[in-house]
Amino acid sequence: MLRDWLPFLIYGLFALVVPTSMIVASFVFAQRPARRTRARGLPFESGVSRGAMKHQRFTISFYLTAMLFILFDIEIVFMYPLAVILHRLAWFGFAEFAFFVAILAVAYVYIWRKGALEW
Amino acid sequence: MFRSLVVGWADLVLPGTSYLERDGTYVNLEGRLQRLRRAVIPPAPDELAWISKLAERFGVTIPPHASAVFAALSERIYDGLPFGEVGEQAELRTRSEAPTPELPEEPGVPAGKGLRLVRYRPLFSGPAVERSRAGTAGRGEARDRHRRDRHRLAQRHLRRAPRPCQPRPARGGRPDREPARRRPRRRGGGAQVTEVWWVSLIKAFVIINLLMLTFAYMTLIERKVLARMQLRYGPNRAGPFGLLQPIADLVKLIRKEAFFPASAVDVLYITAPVLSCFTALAAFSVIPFGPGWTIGDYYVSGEVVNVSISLILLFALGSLGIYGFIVGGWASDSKYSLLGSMRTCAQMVSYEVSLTFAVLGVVLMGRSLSLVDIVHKQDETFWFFGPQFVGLLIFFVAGVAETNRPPFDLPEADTELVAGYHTEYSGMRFGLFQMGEYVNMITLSALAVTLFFGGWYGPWAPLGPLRFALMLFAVIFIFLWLRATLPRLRYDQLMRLGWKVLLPLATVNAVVTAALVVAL
Repeated sequence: MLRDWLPFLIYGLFALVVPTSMIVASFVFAQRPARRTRARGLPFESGVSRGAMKHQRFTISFYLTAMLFILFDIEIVFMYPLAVILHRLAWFGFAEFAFFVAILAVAYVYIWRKGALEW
Repeated sequence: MFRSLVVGWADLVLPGTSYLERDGTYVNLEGRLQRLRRAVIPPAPDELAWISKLAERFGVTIPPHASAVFAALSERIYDGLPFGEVGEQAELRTRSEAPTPELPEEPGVPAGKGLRLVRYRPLFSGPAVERSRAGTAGRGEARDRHRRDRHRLAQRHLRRAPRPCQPRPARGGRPDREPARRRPRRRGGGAQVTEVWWVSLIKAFVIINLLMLTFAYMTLIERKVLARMQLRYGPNRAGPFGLLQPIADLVKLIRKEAFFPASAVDVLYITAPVLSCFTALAAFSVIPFGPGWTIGDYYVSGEVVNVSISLILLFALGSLGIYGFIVGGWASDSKYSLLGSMRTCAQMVSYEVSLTFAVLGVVLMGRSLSLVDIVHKQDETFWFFGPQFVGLLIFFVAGVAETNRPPFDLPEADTELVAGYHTEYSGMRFGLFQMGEYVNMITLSALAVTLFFGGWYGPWAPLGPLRFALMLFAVIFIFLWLRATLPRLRYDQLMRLGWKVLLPLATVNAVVTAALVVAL
């Protein structure tokens, strides 16, 4: 088990060291400004800034999309192991698969008709 | 099924089952009768099933069910104890009370139908090897070569393997090198061995540097290709043909002033690009790029990581990468950043559904989540882009959207959102986001080559990595081509395409593939 994952840990360490070292390098080698001004730190705005947006309201569609994603993605995660052994389960497995997709399709038609996919 | 080194010498390999995979009884060392219950369904026919078939050909009857075998035994030894009571509450009489079993007369073994028992032949004799080689000659040429390679590798390893019991003399005072530990692995090749850890270390170092080099020069290639498509020259000042441009870019990015926006959440702001770059780099680790090599005494496998769930690992890392974008956009506390990161998140999750669904067809045909296995499967059968053509199209479109490349580059749509989630980033922090995006693009292209075009395997097997790289660049070129050709979509068009076109199409593709896999 660990033997299989050891290369990933090693590689992952490298993958972590690379961006971290670049961030550090960007602080070490960065040019220092002659003087700091307040305007430099302001968020980008092509006009008069109306303050941060963090605490304002946001359109609901994004959250809806995120929830739909969770639904569908979990279902796909369920299907992956089934797909691996489907050739052994033969038609029984396929029936299960088709039944599952059918339920999924009902939910899909529902959210479509409800307009959750509209933008 | 484990395939060990000696498989290459066998004329016939019969499926076996472990004790977890069969029903039956056995007598343990204390003389107790024990019941075995099957916990796992074996992939191949039950051992008893093929033994009984084989016995039938020899004219002996062995019932194919454990209970029937036990009934026959029990009649003679256990005084007719029913199979169902073993391991439940049965009590046995002691041996002295039990009647002496009457052994049946040895039946004369008739000459089986076309089968005869031959004397045991030692494994490592020459002719056996010769015959098994000759046996493959009639098959496809590619299969033959593959088999031969495996033979060669196996022979080399057997020759090199130290005898376990004899201490080896140290050579010339040098610390004795430890040969790569051999262990059969669950995958296609006959002579697979694992690596020593420092080989993995060196390989990881080399691969990650190659990956970053590819990224650096991809920026140059992209600018050159785009320029040529727009009848410009592109960068040509730094070095010949602008070849030093990526290095100049790197120096420029690192030298940029490092500051935090006034209202940013500093820790998150600085972690986000690291996270997105890390996940992008780490995801590449599961891509197989070669058949594996033996250098000296050491085995170097053709991929960084081979785990049984490598596809899921890759998608999981891709999903984690989304955190980098959304955290970065939120933490920098700017209107455009937040809008951009929200868009990125919604777009990436939408297309990830289609992306993973499109791959389901390949998983169904490859029968594994390990990319190494999928490549081997394609080498045994055919490239999957033929039967999975719809899957390939969906995968590619969703992949372009997943990497935020044009025409799906809405997260950073310059004309509306300045730069999207990295509006407030500059210098190397911005560079890391770019790096994440480009490395994701490389990984997805590599995944497309691996899943649909046979990966490194092909007509010139020793040139595997080279072929792989060429195909990789061909796919990347299509990414660049798209950028030069297509205008950006509108956000509602993008979402409609993802949820209303690609997702149903991918589902139908998966169901049809499943039906075909079961039927054929």
